[in-house]
Amino acid sequence: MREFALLLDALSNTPSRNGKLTLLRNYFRASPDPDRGFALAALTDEMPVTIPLRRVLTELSASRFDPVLFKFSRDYVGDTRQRRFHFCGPIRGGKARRFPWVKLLT
Amino acid sequence: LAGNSPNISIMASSQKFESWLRPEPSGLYCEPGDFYVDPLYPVERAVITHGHSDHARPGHQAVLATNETVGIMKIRLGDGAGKTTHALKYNEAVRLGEVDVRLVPAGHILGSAQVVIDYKGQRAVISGDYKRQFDPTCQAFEAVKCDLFITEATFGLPVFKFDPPGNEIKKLLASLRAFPDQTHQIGVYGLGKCQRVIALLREAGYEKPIWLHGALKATTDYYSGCGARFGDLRLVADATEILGGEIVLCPPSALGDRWSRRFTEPILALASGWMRVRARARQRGAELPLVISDHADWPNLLATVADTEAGEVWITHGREEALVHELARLGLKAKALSIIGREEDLE
Repeated sequence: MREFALLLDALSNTPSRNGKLTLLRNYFRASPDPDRGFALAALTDEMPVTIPLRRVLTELSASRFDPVLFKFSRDYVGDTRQRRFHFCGPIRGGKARRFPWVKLLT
Repeated sequence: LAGNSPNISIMASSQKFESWLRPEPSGLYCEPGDFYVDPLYPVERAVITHGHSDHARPGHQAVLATNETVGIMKIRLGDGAGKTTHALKYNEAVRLGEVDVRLVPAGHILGSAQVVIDYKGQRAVISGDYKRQFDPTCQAFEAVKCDLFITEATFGLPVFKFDPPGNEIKKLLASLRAFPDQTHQIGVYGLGKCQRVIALLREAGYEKPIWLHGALKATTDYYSGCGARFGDLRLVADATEILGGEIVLCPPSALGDRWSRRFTEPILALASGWMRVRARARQRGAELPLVISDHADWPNLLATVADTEAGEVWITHGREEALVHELARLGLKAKALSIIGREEDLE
């Protein structure tokens, strides 16, 4: 999966057609089954998935993460799918783990 | 009665900080020591955290900084580096007015320092820019316990979490193998990032010559003079061939401009923390975004605040609002100073 994610990133960043072909060729040559089978299906719209991924990811994330930090992040990055992937903030409703020395101050 | 209320006692102590350390239009001012830290405009006495041009400005009367930072300022600013300069070793204490000052490694670039100020039993630490990741080209960040921690927050959002830089170098070397005839042209900031990328390449076992744009030479030579070992470095101007399959480092501004036309189908890479955001990579036309940053990412900002054990945190520049929110959630007093003039694009 990680290799496929890297491939997608590289494809989206590489403008030249020959460059993209080289990336695809290298990926399919090096990746094992069944990964590359799924990859081929995903790239050619043959995945039997009908859920609206973008919306589902947004809703799942918004319910899990601290809403303020999530909003700051969404406003900043502007791309929900990418942000969901990288978000490393605290989980919503999770106990804010106070720094141990804060007790000493209060 | 007031003495029994914890909130009031915290507030009283914070007022004390502001009575001796406060943001002014020129920058952060320490009154009992009568000096500014990284002032934006020329002042009588300046303590400089590191050599980047948004922190080390020209024209101060007296400058206090580490040996390396003074050296870097002299290269970049010439006579503007300060009428008199006072170079300190790390952790060497000096008395300025009524305060004690020492400079502690910040891990940002060569010579970068945090400013530790002790005044009447209180300690404030001003981080300057810093990172916690390993960097073979400068001394590692040292956490100092303090009452007030004044931090940067360039990457103060939970979307910024940086992988070890070695992973990004692997991406670059994989691209070199996939496209062995194309020049790999990497945009790097000339002070710090350039030298770190060279060192990381060498660490990853890359032994071929690395080609430099002329604008990167002076600072790289300075690092070498301070003991860095970079292997075979050459200037692009001296190349007799078209550098297919070679690594070329240049300032980000040279990516895609006339100077780059000499290379064969160059692959444009950019080494910066901003490359974490895909839209930023696209805007800069980076085909190979390398997420290599000299700043602390979100987890490291929080971990560093924890390491200092400070009860109060001020944030000088960057994405302040998210960090203020999170620190308040964790029970700390935090506020944004919104100091102007710090340039995010340098990173």
